[in-house]
Amino acid sequence: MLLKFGLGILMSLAIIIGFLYPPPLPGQDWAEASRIFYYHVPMALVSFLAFAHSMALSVQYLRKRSAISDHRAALAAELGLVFCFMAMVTGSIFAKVAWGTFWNWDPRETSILVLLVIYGAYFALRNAVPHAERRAAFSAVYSIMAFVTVPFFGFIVPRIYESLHPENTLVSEGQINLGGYVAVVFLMSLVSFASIYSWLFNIANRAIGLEQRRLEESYVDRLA
Amino acid sequence: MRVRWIIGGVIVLSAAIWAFSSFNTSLTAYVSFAEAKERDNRVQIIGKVTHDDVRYDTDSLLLVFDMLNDEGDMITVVYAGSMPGNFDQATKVVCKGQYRDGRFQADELLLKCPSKYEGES
Repeated sequence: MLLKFGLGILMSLAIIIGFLYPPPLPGQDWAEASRIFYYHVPMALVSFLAFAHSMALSVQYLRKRSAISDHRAALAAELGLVFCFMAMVTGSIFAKVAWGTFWNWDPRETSILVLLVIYGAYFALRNAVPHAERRAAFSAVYSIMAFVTVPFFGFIVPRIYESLHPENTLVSEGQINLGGYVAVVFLMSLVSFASIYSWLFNIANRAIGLEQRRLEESYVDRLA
Repeated sequence: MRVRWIIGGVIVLSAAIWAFSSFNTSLTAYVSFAEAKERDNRVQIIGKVTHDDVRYDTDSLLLVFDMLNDEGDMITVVYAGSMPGNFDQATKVVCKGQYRDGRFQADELLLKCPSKYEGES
């Protein structure tokens, strides 16, 4: 309860300060639009975090073979997909303002789309296998394989190809590249989005637990 | 147990390398300057603007500048249209168009701008 209020206050502060202070990229015609940086980058980072979480839960499934880990892994991937999609949409809006076009098949745009398709295929796979245990095993292996591509498409591809997308915005040569209040607002926003992720995860996780208990109880009822 | 982890790791890694190498050429929409000179259709090129020789004719709305890419090639771009307001600050540009008569005739420019999120204005 307290955490939820804390999150509400933190997120509101991040939004208010983000809009009241001067834009993070001054000196451009479209400087005001650069405030989208506070939302675009944290969402992309949280989506990578969610994919890593899904991979960890998948490893847990393969070791313990408990259905609950499988459901949790799917949940993490689902939330990751939502954050990844939002990062792409905000990026596309930013691209319209900064580069002049919503979509130009820049390596940065192509790579995030490939990542979305890879995780979209995870759910296609889940829907295609009717047998619960086989579905869980297949999708656990798939989720681990999919996560191996995340560093490639998330971080490496946009850096080795020439791209319009800025790089080393956050860190360069081991130094934090954000100045003054920009770093503060960015961190507040990052913590907020990460908390929203864990909050959403917890709510849905509780539903998974209840569903699991209902299944077990109905099984016990049938035995009795 | 350990052998299984090693085998699993090798499979995962080789799958990643295979996936990456098969994507390699299709991940970028930009062609090299050499390729742009040979092709006779509309292509996109990307490179740095060399700001020391930018010519802009306000009457005919012709912008002429040189571009340098990572391979160290140079190309001269002619853009028919008004100079974008923040062209002076642009580090990298994408030009869409066609190579004709020794110059790249661009009909569309996309600009990359500085990415230093300083927070001071």
